[in-house]
Amino acid sequence: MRLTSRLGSAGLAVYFWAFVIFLFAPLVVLLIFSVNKSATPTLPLSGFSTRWFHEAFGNGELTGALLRSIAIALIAAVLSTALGIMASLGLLVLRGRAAALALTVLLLPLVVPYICLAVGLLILVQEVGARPSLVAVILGHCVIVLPFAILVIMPRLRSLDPAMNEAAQDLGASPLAALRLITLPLLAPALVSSSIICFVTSFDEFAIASFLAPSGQPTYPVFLYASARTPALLPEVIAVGALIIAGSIMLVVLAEGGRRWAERRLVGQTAGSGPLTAPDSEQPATFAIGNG
Amino acid sequence: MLVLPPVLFVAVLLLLPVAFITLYSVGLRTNIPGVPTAFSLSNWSDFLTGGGSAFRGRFVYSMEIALLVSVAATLAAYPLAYFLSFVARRRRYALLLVLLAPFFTSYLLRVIAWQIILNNDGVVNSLLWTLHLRPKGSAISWLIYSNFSVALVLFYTWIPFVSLPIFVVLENMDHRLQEAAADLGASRAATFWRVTVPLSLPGVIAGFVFVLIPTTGEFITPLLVGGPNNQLFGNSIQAFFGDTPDWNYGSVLAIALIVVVIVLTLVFGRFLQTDLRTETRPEQ
Amino acid sequence: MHPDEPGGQAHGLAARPGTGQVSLVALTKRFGSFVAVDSIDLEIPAGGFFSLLGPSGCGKTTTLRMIAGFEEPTSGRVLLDGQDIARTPPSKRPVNTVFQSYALFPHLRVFDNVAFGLRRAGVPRDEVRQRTGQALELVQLSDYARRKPGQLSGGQQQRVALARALVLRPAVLLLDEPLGALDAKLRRQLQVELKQLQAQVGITFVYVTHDQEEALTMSDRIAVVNRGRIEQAATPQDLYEEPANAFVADFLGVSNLMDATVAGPSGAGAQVRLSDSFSVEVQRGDVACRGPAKVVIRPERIGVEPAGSPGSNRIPGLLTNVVYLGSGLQLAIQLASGHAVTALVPNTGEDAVSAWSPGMSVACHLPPSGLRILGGDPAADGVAANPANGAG
Repeated sequence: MRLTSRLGSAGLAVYFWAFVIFLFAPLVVLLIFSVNKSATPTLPLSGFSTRWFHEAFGNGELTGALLRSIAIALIAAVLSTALGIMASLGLLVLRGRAAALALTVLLLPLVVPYICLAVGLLILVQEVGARPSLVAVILGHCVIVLPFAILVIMPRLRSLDPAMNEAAQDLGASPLAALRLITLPLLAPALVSSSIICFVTSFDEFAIASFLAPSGQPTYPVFLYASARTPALLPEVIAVGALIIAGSIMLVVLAEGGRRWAERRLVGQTAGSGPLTAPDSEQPATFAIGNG
Repeated sequence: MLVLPPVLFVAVLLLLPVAFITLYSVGLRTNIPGVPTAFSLSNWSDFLTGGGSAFRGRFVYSMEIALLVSVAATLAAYPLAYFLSFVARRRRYALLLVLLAPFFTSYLLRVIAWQIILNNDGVVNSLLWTLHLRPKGSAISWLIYSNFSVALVLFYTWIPFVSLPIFVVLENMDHRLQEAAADLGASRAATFWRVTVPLSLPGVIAGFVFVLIPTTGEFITPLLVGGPNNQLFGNSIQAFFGDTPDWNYGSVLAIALIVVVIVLTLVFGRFLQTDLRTETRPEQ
Repeated sequence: MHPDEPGGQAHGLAARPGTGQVSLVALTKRFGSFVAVDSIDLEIPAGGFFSLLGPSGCGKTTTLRMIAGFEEPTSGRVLLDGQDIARTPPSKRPVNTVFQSYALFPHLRVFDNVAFGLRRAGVPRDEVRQRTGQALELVQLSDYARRKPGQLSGGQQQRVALARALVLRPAVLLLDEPLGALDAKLRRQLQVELKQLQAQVGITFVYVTHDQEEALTMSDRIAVVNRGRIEQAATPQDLYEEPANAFVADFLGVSNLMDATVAGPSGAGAQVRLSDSFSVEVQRGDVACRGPAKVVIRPERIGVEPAGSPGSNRIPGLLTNVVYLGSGLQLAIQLASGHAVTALVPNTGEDAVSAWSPGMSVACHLPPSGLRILGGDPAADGVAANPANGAG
């Protein structure tokens, strides 16, 4: 007997695809109106036009905000991935209480609501006598995305045979050289994933940026929010939004495909029978749900 | 010790700000120049029992919305995860990616998109006008700037995310258990309700909590699709640090929210064990 | 030796003469309050195949890791050709390790794995190519140079690990249970190959294993390790024939350990009372001691004869179990003295095999030269001996 009846399977499939349509509908709406001639996103459609893209990229404020966000996201991604590597390596050798404590602190940003963290950082900036700046935004973003970096890098690191690092040293490599030649290359897929996740999260972050970005130097989400309430800017916003959406989807597909390609290339096409690590199974999540 | 820089980083940029918020909430620091600072619980008592009833009300409202959205999203996501794990066997990871893809696009853009859809002259209304199902210019009032819009957008945003832990737990389940139940004579419904659901409960609860905790602090969605009566607790906090600055009172609200989140995390924490090991590491 | 002669490839990897002698002096390693290695003194002669043999958790791997440099000793010295290397980092020691998991670098080709150490040492390109090629030839993997480790079988990976370590011409090669992950037949084949390899290159091999058969087969000398101490260090033959205590006797094969009492002298040996009714003459071991002692005899030295056979040193017994091993028969016998022993009878044909069946009465001949007295406190070794009251 099959687990689901034929009707049940069909029903579930319909439900699934209906939901997929539901999930993609707003994105499609953006795509449609990005090439709509009229300045107001309303039906009926008024014809095809790419003018909003031209206007958007002619808008200095918009492009400025975009570039600012990209720069911030890049720096945050690199910085938090580096910190994530450090944290993962450090946690590897810690035991017991110290390890649990360190991990708790490192994962704390996952639990604190972004609005609270944002106002807290605002207070901190004031208390140290500084003023809102893009540097503060970068640091704030790093704090939020560091847990993601750790959650991606640590399992990968733990799956590596620790004897490999010892073998490298045994053969004459200093600990630093062993890290550079053996550990980091083998971590590469996780480092790429981490960088992408951190970049995307930072790029889209609104709460911290809204409080810590200096006025006149908004990040893209801050600019987006302000524009969303200004009908005149809406079509440009939609145009750029459509591009970002399309880009994000492509990035997700590429990232997954790239990760699988890197895995295969890393350890050879066919798996041997020795006690080496098998290529990562295609589990998408780093969480295992415990029973308490 | 390599783990120190990252830990110190988080300590300075997270623990320290929270410490400061605490100080502000009890009057030991203030942002208003010239005001003397002394330990005072007046803002706290105002919020908890005194004149801050509007904020208490908003707090309750936020919890209600968060609960509603979490329950709805979890219930709606279960069949999606079930479909992926039990029906779509071979293509399940590709389809999971399809399900998750929108989640990886900009959150703000998705909310703005819903604004366009639900607006008074948005996609839904203008469609009804074009099809002559409603007189032109007459918009459905509850579609935007309402409880409905806030709840719907939050629900929409979190569905893919909730599916993930449920999918994982269904995947990790030995599907031979269901076969064994069928073997012993259980009907499909019985197998589902008495084997699959109980065993998948940890993942369901995990997904529920994954939505509940962030949603309590949500403030972006109400800004764009919520009316004045649909602002959430996060918006109150935002207001005290932006438009009408009263950092001391705002800090009280912020700490209250943090406390709630910590309590929720502690209560449900055992369902959120993150396993940072993998099975492929050879044991020496 | 010419490179084309058998063993000639080894010429480029042969040990430097006069190197590879290891001495451990009062070497101790503590993890918190747990003493893993308890002040051991050990001499490992240069150029031989030396094994550290012992049960899991006895400290043999920890000792090996201290020689390699992955553990720092709590106290004591590790001398290599007279120099104390205990504080030298592993990357600077002329010692290389073959790991239990092989620890090959999965993202590098076989060639690059083997060449890794040479490149780290700054060896010029041509020499790297030549020496790597030699090493691969030595382990018969020249055709696999371009493959990645993930594409090799377990046995092949083990050989790559060997080549990778040997190409550096270390003074000592350390091997940490390298054959553990392989099936029995492959293990036996590789045991022979490893032994031959060691003879070819002449480098000191220090081999850690818990498999006594493996150690006996391959080693020139063996140190038996138990709970952080060396019980006995000797040649395989000495360990098997002349075990120093009950632990060594019991660890290397079946010992048939029996509680007995040494009564007095008898000829060249001693008269040992197995029980009130039975005594035997024992010629080996601590024949001078008196009083309670343990006696051992190897299964293949016990002569199993039909009941009632005449002669001295014969104890009647009951055959309780017969196990057909293929190469012989394993006979479990309950002696009339109260002890239970295991005897090994070679398979000399159908008649020999069918002669024995459970329930038969037999006579066990325990030759005086096959018995050995282990002196000292019978309770000290923590090894359960056969008490003479038959409760064993």
